[in-house]
Amino acid sequence: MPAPGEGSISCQVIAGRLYQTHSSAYPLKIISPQAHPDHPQSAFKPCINYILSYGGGIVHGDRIHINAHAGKGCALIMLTQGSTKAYRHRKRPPHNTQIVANNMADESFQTLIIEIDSGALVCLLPDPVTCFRDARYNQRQAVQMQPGSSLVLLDWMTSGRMSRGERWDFQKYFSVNLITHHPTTSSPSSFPSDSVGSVGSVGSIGPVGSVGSVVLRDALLLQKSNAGDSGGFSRRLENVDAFAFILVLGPAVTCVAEVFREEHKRERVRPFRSNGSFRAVMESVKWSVSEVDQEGVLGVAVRACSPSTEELKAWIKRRLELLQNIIGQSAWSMYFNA
Amino acid sequence: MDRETWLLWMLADSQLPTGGFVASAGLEAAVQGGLVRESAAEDDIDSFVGFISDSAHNQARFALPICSRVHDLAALHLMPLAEAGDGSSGNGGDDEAVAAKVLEDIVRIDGYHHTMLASNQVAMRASIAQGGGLLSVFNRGYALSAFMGSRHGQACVGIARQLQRLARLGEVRAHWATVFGFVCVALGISCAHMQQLFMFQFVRQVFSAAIRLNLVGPLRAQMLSCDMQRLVSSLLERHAHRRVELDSIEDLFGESAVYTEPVLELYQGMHDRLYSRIFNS
Repeated sequence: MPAPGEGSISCQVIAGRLYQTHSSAYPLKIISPQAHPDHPQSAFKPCINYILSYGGGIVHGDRIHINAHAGKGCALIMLTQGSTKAYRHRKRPPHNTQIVANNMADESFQTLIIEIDSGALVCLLPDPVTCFRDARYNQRQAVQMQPGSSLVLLDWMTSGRMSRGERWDFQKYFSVNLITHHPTTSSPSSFPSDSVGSVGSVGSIGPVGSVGSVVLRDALLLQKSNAGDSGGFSRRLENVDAFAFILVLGPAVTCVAEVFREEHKRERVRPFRSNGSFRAVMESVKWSVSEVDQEGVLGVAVRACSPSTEELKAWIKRRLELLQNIIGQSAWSMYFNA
Repeated sequence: MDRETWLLWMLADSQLPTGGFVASAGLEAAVQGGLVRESAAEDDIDSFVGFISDSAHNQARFALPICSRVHDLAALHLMPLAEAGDGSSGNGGDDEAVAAKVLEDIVRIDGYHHTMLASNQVAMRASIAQGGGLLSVFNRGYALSAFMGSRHGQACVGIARQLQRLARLGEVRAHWATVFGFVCVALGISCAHMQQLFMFQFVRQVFSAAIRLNLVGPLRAQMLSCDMQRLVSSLLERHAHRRVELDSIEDLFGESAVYTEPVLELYQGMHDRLYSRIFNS
């Protein structure tokens, strides 16, 4: 039995057929709807997984930990159903009995360890994280990319429960994305689980790799500070309600990276006129594209923000459209036409 | 006047030829993108003050833990050489071993810092340019001065030469924060003073960019700069103890060095898409 909040996903193609397994334990649930491999030109068998949690969100003290592995020929698509809600911090013992007295016990953690074999693709396309008032949320994602593997990673968040007037009102949001290469062990498909769920431990990082194998680390911390003015994160985000960080890496998604590169070359930033209002400045999606070229891991890193989550999603959708040809229409529709 | 104070003033001098004058730390893009208002010069300076406060906070959480850690590690190994004094019968082999150890630490931390900058080409470029600038100021300037003839000084000169050689070979990038931490140890500058200088330099660079962008006048910049002392002081109080941790996977998933300003990061990334620009970053 996996520990509470723990799950694993594995997929591989053997003799032209997709084989997948997954397991999960409360409060985590993983389901895999059938995808129709309807794009004959695609080199990949799509394998779709929804990462769900009972209650529709993450309660403080929750430790979600998922290991995922995509074998050659697979396009592992990881989705959520609706935004991941990080509920407010409450002074109540969490249901996870392994939690001991510790500052971190007050916070919620979602850890995702992904291994991508050569010739495989992983698309991590969740709905945005929404942190409720006073939430303390930590999201940690490590992706080990074998040479010749590919990744589309979308990591995005909203300002909060806007309908309730909650904007940037959480205590803490910490998101770290690590890209590593070179496997350091020879057991890339095992999912050791001894330490998963223990407080303060990252859990079984297993085969993700050593410190020296990191090629990219993106760590964003938004934390309310007691010190008042400086260090408060809400001022700069005043006119933003959704922020996205996107990585498009590897040979299978070069065409998608190229879409961003082309736009980066073509679209100049128009000098802003000082008589316009500040609100007007933020009306459209603001974005920037950075080339990634780290020890053979090639692609782009994209940042985009908008005052509207829907507008940002539409912006992302238009730029990822070529993914349809790679992961197939049905997998694409599950995310973008839902 | 003691040597440390003199060297601190030299390093704080805006004429220090590290090429910092071509960097605006994202200010130019923030102005053209409309995040910082161009009218700042006349009536409203809030958006500029907001920019400089937030980016100073970001610097204290992102780069300061890097140079502090380099300073700690380099000082740990190199200070015994300085304390032993010039007259001590230094065993050349021991000194070489010390230098090799320090170089290894610098390369490791620099490599990690590089991965932290891997998704922001504009910031990465600026950091490499200024780190390289400071390294050659050291090698072609300070390294040849009389006081570097000491045992400690010679070990540092050796490290700096190796570092430059590795940088030419592309085996190390020599980022600004790592080179800064090392050079301060080489010049006998304490960690606390280095941290103050590191933050001062950052703020000064943004002000100097603001003046050239005609965002604030030089006199107004002096006034605002005075007020920045309180902010930087409070940042140091809260963050000077931080050191980048990179020894385990828990460290990599940890908060020892993070960025705190996603929107500023985004705007800085727009820099290469500006119609016309006077800065490199």
